[in-house]
Amino acid sequence: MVGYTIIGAGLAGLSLALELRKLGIDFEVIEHRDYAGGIHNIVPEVRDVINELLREVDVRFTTTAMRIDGTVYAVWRGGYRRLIDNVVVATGFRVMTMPELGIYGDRPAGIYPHHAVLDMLYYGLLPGKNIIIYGDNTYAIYLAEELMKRGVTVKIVSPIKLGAGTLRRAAEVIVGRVRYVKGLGRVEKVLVDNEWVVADTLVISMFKPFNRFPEFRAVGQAVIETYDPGIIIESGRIMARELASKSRDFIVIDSDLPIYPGNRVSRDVRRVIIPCKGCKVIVNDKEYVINGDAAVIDLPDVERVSIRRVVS
Amino acid sequence: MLVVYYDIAIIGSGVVGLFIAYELAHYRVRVIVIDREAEPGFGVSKGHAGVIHVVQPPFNSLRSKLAIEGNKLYDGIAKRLHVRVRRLSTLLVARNPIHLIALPAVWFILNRVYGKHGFRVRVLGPRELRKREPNVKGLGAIEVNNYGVINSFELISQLYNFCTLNGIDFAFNTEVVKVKVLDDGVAILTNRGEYRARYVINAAGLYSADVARMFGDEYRLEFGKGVMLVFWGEQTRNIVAPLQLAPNPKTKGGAIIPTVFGTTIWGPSLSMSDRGDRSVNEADIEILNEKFGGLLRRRDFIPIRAYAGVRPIPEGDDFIITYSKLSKHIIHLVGIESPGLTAAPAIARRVIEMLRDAGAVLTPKDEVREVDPVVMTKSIIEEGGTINADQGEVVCPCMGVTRADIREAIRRGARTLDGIIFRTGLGMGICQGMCLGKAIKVISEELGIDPEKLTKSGGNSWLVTR
Ligand SMILES: Cc1cc2nc3c(=O)[nH]c(=O)nc-3n(C[C@H](O)[C@H](O)[C@H](O)COP(=O)(O)OP(=O)(O)OC[C@H]3O[C@@H](n4cnc5c(N)ncnc54)[C@H](O)[C@@H]3O)c2cc1C
Repeated sequence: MVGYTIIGAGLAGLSLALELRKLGIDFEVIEHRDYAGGIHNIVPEVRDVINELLREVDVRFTTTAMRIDGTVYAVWRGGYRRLIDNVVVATGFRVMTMPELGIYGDRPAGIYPHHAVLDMLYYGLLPGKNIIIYGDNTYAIYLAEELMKRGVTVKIVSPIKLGAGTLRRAAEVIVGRVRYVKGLGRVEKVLVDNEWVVADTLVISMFKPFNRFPEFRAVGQAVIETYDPGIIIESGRIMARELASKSRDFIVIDSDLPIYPGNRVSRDVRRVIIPCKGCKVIVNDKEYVINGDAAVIDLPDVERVSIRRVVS
Repeated sequence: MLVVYYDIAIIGSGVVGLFIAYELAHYRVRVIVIDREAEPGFGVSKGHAGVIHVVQPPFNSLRSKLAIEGNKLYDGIAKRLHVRVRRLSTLLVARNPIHLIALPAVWFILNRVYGKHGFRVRVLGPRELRKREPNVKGLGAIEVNNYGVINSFELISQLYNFCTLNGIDFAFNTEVVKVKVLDDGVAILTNRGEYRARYVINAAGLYSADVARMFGDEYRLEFGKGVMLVFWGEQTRNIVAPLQLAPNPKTKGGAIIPTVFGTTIWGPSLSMSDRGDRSVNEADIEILNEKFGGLLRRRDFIPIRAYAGVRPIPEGDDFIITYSKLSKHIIHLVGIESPGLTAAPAIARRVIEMLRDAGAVLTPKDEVREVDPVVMTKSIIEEGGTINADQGEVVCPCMGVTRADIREAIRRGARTLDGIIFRTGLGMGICQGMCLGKAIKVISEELGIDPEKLTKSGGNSWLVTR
């Protein structure tokens, strides 16, 4: 008899699983792909953490959660099952779409979302030979490195300056926005701000949290906009303890920011994540400065908590 | 060199050419369909909005007449070919008091024209509008029923299957470059050899005027680009458009269109363009936002994709369906613009009549084979059936496409990534191709080719390398 079904064997899903195991709660982890790690598969330090987690947690690979009309199923080679409750979504970021990013032009072959390229690498394929990666984050950088190792030319285009030192190899970085793609059969060139850059491939590495099964609770990048592995792991731990909590006492949070795991948290757990990059917040009367893109905060043991963003 | 002889050659395997082939598949004639693209329906028929229209202005045009006839034929065809059609209404929404005052007059005019053909027209007050379309902002609306939306990819695929099942030949990647009219027919020269046919039907879409010119017949075409923006999820239950009292060419046409896939289309727009230009520009999207954004209460929908199609617009802005000046053995279909999808079944019937009038002997076959419905794995699961290993290997989680579905699409003629996408919906969801890496691997395996050889849609549209 399985307790919880965790959808996704990335950092979030596996962290949740490990914590549930420690708390003695049954679960299964299902994973659509035939490998674990998701977006962190090619991030060396995190990959180590994932390998560690995989020693503790079993994963059912090639097992996919999908919605058919209103119902969610887990489907695997030769069978399926309805997912009704006790499900946690850990499917990570989605890639932003071309209209969301304001990228216009033709739609030739050679425009790929980040995750498609991760799979190609896993299967020994390359998306092209002269690649532009459009991304403002570390995943874009790791992908660039991984592709360069295989001898292809890579340029990163980022709307913001990428932190110095994060680039260990010399991928060229162009600060700007991708605006337009030209190409009849295959990508031929890409307009970055006002300059055309010749390329045969455009990889989109811009992300958004997305819970594809909103009837279920979620962990990690499916709900939190963070690039910090520590925060992702912590979201799994918090969720595990929320799920394990037997107490009926809750803390009700009144907040002008989205709070993870929600605005009603268990009084035994009393821990939340506030995703708000570089923000200053007041929790009841205590002031916190969020250094990264999110912060883990322990709440006082009271019935109501107010969280306010300080706008200076 | 080998020359193959046919009774009838159709140039173009768009929705129009396919419907003609479908009709001819019922008779004892040898037919070939020739297309320069890699698969059926990769021309104009690839980039439209999928709406089954009703009456078209101007009301006395051939376009309007054939659209009305086509509309009425669709339910029967869809049932026979197992293609999803959803019937719905179009609501023309009044957004200001002047529109509201004008509603009865608009109703009066439309009702006279539409009513004559059996299409119902009604005025909806604010409360009724709210009830019918909770997400639409407006003071009232005119409702016209009998519209439809169709899975046009499924339509193309099933028409093609019906044709191949009933002995129609197809030549893809084959471009007609020259023709010679002979005593007993026409020699059709292509980049891949010569075909001979006693009758030729020019259903070449954007290239119909060029093909006509090969026979010495002159037509002028202009090209009108239409951009469509696709959103994840359903915004309205019916087709919704702002009521326009004075036509504004810049914002002509288009609507908020619920699709059979559960997504929503805004568009199409209309702007003059080149034949080869399927680019989407910021200005196109701005026009769509301006036109449709204000009609909705909830606007937190995620735009997932924008695409463009090009219409061939003939002089006089009406379909040209005619014999060549050279011979009644040659039939031109020039400028099959919107609503060509709607009109296609009726156009095909008209072409059959024209062939008969030109002396073609069309004897019905004793037996015609019917196509099976396409059964996707997800519908087996929905109905509680058992699935095998390949039916359980999901390739695209968003749209629920499995390895078995890909294999079936290939069995039904898909040879390219777009061919798979059109037949299965793969990658058309909110993930917009996050599954493509795996999909490319699985499709290549199922086609038995190296992934480097797989293309998006033929030609230079290669997908991966090593
Ligand atoms: C933006 C847009 C939106 C639309 N929306 C709707 C709608 O909602 N409802 C509706 O009813 N209609 C709509 N239409 C119109 C409809 O799409 C077209 O009328 C219809 O698809 C035309 O089909 P066709 O077979 O004539 O042309 P095509 O699909 O273009 O077929 C012609 C074929 O001929 C082939 N060909 C051309 N030249 C040669 C050659 N020399 N040798 C070999 N092959 C050749 C081409 O490759 C092509 O496949 C829309 C059109 C556009 C552009």
